Amino acid sequence: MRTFILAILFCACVNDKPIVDIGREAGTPVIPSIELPEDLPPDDPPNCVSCSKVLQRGLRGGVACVRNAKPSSAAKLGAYVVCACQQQCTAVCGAHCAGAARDTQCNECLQSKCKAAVTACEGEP
Amino acid sequence: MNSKHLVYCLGASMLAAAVFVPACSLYVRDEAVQCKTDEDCSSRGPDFVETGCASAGPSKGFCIDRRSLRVNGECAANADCVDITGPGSVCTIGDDSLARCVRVVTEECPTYVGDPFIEGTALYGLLGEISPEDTGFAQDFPLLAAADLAVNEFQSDRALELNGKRRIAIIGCSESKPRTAAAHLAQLGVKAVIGPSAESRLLRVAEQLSPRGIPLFTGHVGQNAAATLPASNKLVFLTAPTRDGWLAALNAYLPEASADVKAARTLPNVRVTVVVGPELSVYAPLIRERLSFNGKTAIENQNDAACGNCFQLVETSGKTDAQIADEVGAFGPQFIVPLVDTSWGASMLPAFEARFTGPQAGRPIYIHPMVRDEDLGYRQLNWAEAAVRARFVGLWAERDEGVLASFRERYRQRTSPSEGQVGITPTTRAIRTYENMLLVLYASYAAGRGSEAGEFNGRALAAAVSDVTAAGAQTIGPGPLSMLDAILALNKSDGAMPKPTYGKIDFNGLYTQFEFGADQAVSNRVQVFCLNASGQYVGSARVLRNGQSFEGGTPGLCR
Repeated sequence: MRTFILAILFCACVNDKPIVDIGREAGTPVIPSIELPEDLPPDDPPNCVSCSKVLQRGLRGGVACVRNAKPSSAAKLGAYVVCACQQQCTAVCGAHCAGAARDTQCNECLQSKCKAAVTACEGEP
Repeated sequence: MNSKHLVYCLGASMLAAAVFVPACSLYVRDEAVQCKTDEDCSSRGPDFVETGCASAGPSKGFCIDRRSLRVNGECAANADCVDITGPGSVCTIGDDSLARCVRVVTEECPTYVGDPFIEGTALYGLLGEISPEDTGFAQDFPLLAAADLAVNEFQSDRALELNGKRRIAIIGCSESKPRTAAAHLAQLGVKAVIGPSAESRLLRVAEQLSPRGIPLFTGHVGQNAAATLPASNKLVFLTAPTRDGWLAALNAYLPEASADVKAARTLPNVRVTVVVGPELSVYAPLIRERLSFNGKTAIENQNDAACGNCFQLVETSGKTDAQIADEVGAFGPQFIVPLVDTSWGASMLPAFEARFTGPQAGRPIYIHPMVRDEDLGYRQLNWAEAAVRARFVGLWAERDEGVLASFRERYRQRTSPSEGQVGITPTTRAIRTYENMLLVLYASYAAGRGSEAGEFNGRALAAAVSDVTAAGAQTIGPGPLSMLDAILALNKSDGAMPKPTYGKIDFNGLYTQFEFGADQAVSNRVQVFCLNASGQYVGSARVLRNGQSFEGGTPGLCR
């Protein structure tokens, strides 16, 4: 009797049909991915400088170091460029992003919208 | 769930259930997973014959039908990859001839423009320092937008799409890991690659691309560092001024400028200093041996006591700007040739100028050869004074200022954050990326002619470069206004069957005439640039066309 009751309790409806996917007729054997060759981490260029130094010279005025700190000067400069030239201040910092010195409008935008990036970069020795 | 069946009941309970439970009284929730492997599916019974386990995507963990799959590999189309790797992959054929799903975005290749997931899209790679962590990101971040502009202009008109209505997408990769990035691009099946920016990375990139027949076009390096790689034969295109090219321009210009200086300052000889930064140190031996002035090579001038050892090569590595300026100031040259890349105008020029006193007419003349961007350092000086402006000369690729101005405007619009606002100013590298991308698009079009589906591979694209840079064919300028003309010219056919002969064009870029030599490097024309009263560099009528001597305009110094 116990077995009978248990059997009733454990009866269940389950999903046992294959799903027919409208896209790929999938489920094929996943073939091994090709291993890509590796590179050594990039070295500092021989003439690299700090983020603040690049800003002093104008954005085209030098290359930033990648191995000098964490985050590196290059990463700080990258964050600055992304904010100033690609996201927040593109319209007013166009000339600065091409290498010219910052003008008043660009400075104002940077101070209001990219302050963290500016501070991190200029704060480097 | 498509259907439900009773599956787990003992014989006795079946009977009881039929009596006491008219239908399923207890349903198990839809299974969280049906499978982890394909074997899990096949072991589920006859309904699961020829099913497999989806390892990603919305059907992950469920057995799905694979009966109609007829490819050697794991996918037949990009859409198949959703069930294997999830969204974000394309189906490509690998070196092992197996079709596999490959993720487009990786650490090395963090971005793309266009939609690479549309079936049949022709993919291209762009290699540069385009990741914000890269050391040269501030120089290279405009590159992808430049390539995107070329594609956007090409695809903006239905008449201009690739054969087979193939769309175009560009995968942007950081060259800071050149091997991995290039191998990834090869795995994605790109048709061609634009880049890299650094000459030192060219070989490592070509090692990955050339054996797979993928051509690369770089507008930034001066020598084919991959020339020793047999597989790269006919697959590496250098569209920047070569080292030989800029040296020829310097050797053509120095004698005529020397004649002016010697006459004006009553000198028997001129003294020349070349300042070489560490990033361009490979140029040092070339300069010593092949730079020519006073009728002698640089090294001969250096060793000639009679002229006061009138050549100086200063390598800047490990020295401060002040030390370098002291060295040059003590030498007292009439000409200074800076090969210092990015830091010249911003920091060294002011230090140099501080060492020279007296009237402007007696101070050194700076000759800027064809290396990277035009330098804006003179703007820190009193350039409103004509005598100051006369001391700055540029020897750069010949260009049409009107065409260039149009490109700058279009580029600014494309990079504008919103309508009516100004975008970023394109750099020399961005300009070269744009024109290289256009060259690649025209070559792609030419390579796909005669195939209904527009099929072509990298080698066909490389071979078609000669069809789109054919001397004597219709000249095609850079920009959207010439595109329809280009396609019409390329579509002309003599109708011969089965292999018709198609038309050719002579595509000219913004800076580059694309006159490839046997080494697949361009021998571009060089123009003398002088500063005008507004403080802008303006091309003069003096142009070097034959690699030997300048023609046209007024010879000698800027006036």
